[in-house]
Amino acid sequence: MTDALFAILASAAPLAFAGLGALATEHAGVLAVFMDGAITLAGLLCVLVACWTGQPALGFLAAAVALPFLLALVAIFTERFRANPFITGLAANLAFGALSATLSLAAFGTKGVVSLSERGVDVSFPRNLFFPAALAAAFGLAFVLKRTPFGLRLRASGPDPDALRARGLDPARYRVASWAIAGFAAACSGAILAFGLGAFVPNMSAGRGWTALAAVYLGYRRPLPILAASVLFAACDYATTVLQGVGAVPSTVILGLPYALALIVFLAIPNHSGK
Amino acid sequence: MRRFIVPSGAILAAIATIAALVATLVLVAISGDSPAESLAAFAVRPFSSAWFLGNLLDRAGLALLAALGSSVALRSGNLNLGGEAQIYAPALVSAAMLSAPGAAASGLLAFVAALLAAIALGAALALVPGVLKTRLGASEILTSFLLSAAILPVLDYLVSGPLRNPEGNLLATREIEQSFRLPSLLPPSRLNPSFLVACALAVAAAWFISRTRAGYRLRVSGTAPEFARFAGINVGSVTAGAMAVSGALHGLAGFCAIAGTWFACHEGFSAGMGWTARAVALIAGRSPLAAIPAALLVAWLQAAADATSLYSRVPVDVTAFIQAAIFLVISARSLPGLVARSRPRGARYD
Amino acid sequence: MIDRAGDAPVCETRDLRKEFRSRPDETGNYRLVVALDGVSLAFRPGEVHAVVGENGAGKSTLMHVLTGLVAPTSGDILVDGVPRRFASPADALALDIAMVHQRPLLAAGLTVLENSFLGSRGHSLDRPRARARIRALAREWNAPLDPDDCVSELGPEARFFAAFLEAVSREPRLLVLDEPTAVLGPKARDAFLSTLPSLGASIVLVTHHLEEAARWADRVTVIRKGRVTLEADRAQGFSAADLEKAMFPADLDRPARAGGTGTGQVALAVNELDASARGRVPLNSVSLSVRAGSCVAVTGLAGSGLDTLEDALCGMLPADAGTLSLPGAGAGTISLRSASPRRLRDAGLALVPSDRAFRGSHPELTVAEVASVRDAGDPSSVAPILERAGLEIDPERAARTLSGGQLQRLILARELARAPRAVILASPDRGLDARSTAELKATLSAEAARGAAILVLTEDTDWARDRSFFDETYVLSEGAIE
Repeated sequence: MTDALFAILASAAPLAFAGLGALATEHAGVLAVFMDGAITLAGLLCVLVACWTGQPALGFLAAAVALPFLLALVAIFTERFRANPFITGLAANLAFGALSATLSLAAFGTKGVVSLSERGVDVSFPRNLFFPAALAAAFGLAFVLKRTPFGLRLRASGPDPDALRARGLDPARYRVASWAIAGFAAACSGAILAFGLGAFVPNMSAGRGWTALAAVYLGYRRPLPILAASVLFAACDYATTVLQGVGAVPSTVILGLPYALALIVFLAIPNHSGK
Repeated sequence: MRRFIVPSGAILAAIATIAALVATLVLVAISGDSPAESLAAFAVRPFSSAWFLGNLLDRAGLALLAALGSSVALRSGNLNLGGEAQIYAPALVSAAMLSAPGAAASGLLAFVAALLAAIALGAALALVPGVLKTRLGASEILTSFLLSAAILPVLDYLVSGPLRNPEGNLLATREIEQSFRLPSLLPPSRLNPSFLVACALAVAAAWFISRTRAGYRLRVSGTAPEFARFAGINVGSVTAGAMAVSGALHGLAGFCAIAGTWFACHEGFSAGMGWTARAVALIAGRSPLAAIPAALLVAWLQAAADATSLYSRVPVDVTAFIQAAIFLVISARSLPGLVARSRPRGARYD
Repeated sequence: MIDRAGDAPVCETRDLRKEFRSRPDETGNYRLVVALDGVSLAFRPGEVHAVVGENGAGKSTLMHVLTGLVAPTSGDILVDGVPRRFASPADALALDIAMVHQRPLLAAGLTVLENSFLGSRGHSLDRPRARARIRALAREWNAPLDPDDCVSELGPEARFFAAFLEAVSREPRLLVLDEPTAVLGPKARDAFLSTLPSLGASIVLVTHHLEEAARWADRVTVIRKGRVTLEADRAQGFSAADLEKAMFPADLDRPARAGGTGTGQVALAVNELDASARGRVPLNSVSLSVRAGSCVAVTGLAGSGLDTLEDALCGMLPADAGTLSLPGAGAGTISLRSASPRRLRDAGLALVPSDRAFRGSHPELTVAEVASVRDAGDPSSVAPILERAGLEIDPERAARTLSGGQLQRLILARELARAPRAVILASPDRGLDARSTAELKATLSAEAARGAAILVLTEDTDWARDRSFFDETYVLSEGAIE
């Protein structure tokens, strides 16, 4: 029984990180439609650099620098050209997915599974640190949002940019920062997935980026409830895996669930309409 | 000033296309062992025989149909990103209906029934996001995308499971009856009358949008939604109707792909068509007529990329990159009608 | 009130000019709109200086320039005698110049306390101290709020105070208040205005309540069309009547209306209209009627709810209650809760919006498309409308190439093409030059003579009070008919 609990908590961690990242952009008024592709790319970069240097920590570092950077670029593009963030976000999602496949092919010669252990990288990670890390991140984000001027301004940048302008602040800066934060969260999420599996698997995020959006709304847009929602989703996922083993639900259909869920939640909470 | 002076949207599209082309050429050149050979293959191969040329045109025709669907939606101010499911599901239904035992006996009736079913299903799948936008104000960009993404795995499951052809090795449905297959116009390629239908529809769409009353309502609702509403046009109905037509066109594409090209529905059916259709739609923008040359261009790019993959070590997923690049460039200028066009009043992204 | 005339001013403006470029006119030239035309004022410490003027007079522009939101075209702002340039409100705040806007610019999702930290430098926040300070200030000013209240849950009065207290807690030397009493009841108003001098700062009070200005201000400035037309201080004495005369001089050219005496039956009636929307002034039980063949005006200054009224009457904003009826049209009574522009037009109403650019037309449509919208794009309807509008132009031109006057003529011609029973126009004279305005008035006169009922919503109080044109004038104030 405790085994199941630990497994659920550990698998909730990547989802929680993704949700926290999506929360950051949510406050800035942007729906994080790029999250799914970002997670997969992050996972690949982790594995890539880990294999290259033999150090998993450097892999994580690479992802933690690259993803925020890339997403900040897209954000700056969006601001500068007054583009529709849905579209640029989706474009980024697409590009990140393609980039993962391409890099995987270029570096490892395969679009398939890239195992770390086969390449001589130490695969023994303290898996039971994953969830505590997510918990710490949730607390951290909650603190920043409630108690630091940066967090307060981030919360205002989406719904009330005029309030920031009246104080001589530029809301665009905070919006770009939110994309970067989401990038860092995607890096954490991807790293956990990669190191947890001990490999890079094509389309590793498996729709988690979309479930993360659902978690944001289910968690009333607050960090700790989002964490709780992530655990809930992980528990459901665990249950379906068990059911699959029993042959009750076809696996391919499960793949569609994150999207369906995100859709339902998006409709139930009509925050973003037409923009 | 005449309105037909090239609008800057077209210039942007041209830039996007050229950039994509250059990027592709570079990638192609560096990915092969012999750049010269790769490039030669890229440029010439597709035209080297009736087989290659015919298939290129066939592909272009299918992409054209789907792209027309996107154009119609775009013209009404909506972005329909659910094209893949709107092609795949009708294709699956058509394949199932046309390969069912006893279908051949019903002849024309079965054919027409499958055609209508495909169109209706496509329309329904696109109508959902349309109605959601009208009633709930929910962004059709996201709802169409998510709905499609949620349905695709289910379709894959059906193809590789309950509807799978028990006799074959492939993850595909049974092949449709011989009598239902559209004849080839350029053997041995699969070019068939659907290409001509597509071109005719493109012309018809262009005429409809610019010359009819309903077409006027469509384009004004897309370009100037507030103006349209104020003047008494029911913008919600226009949105729903345009989305339905968009889906219907995608459904027609799916049907033609089955009846004219593949004769069976395989797993991941819409994957290839999806990207080409989107790319065509993005390049052609809102003009149905421009979609014809755009479709030919994109089909050529696709065919050429496939040809070079035979030569190179690293088959780069060029197509996704091109698509993403085009997405970005086109989005750079808030396309009229895509973003809610009202006076800039403390807009979120200004 | 202490006489401070001898003290050096905290802030001065010298020859302040602000120009905007307008849309191109018929000849393709841009007109310069002069919002401020050489304004020189001084604001002394401890003085309450009222700035009055009607809408569009330049008060808001002046305040925005003073507090760093907008840069002036020319002229100087001197703080303590030193010329300064403000690149943003932050610069003004750094010099202890603060402003409380008419619609308080607060972040709705944050609490009052959190809002006060939005502009703070540094990374850590001393919450207990800030909380105590806000509570103390709230007590002092009788503000109905608590630091931990979420702004979105506060009513307009509390929101005003939240923004006000935030400004006050910075201890500014110059405090600009834009229509501060708009959301206060009469008792609260008096309490507030009487406590203001205790701040010791130089206070700029922007208001349209002339009695208030006359009663509470040490000094008053009247602005009209970007210029100062009256400046007086307590020593010289001024009354509300003086101010009114300075705001509305009686030297305007008023074309008298020909024909139509407005004694026909009521052709358009609005009953008990309530409407509200986020960020808008709510309407309260608005009723009015217009007889056939007459012209009626509804006027109001900023913050009166005129824009809410326009949207509700046009069916673009669902009302909370109220009906519109066109007796004699056989259309019955239309509920404004569910009305759409289509329904109103079908009933015989013509609508001319204040937003010519995006509602009456659209920059990216052609003139032909704009003209033919009532006929679903039928090209044959274009020529008669262009002729009626007196526009000899290529119908394939983009609508954005038309000048304001041309666009208005086009819209009017289109709306009046079917001889409607009643016409509602919102700010039809806004942004028009003298000639276009005269043409507009002539067109409306002709329509009234034909027997239509004309209702004009306008912020131009001069025109609204012109008895030679309007048979009746309603004044809208804070969402209700006065």
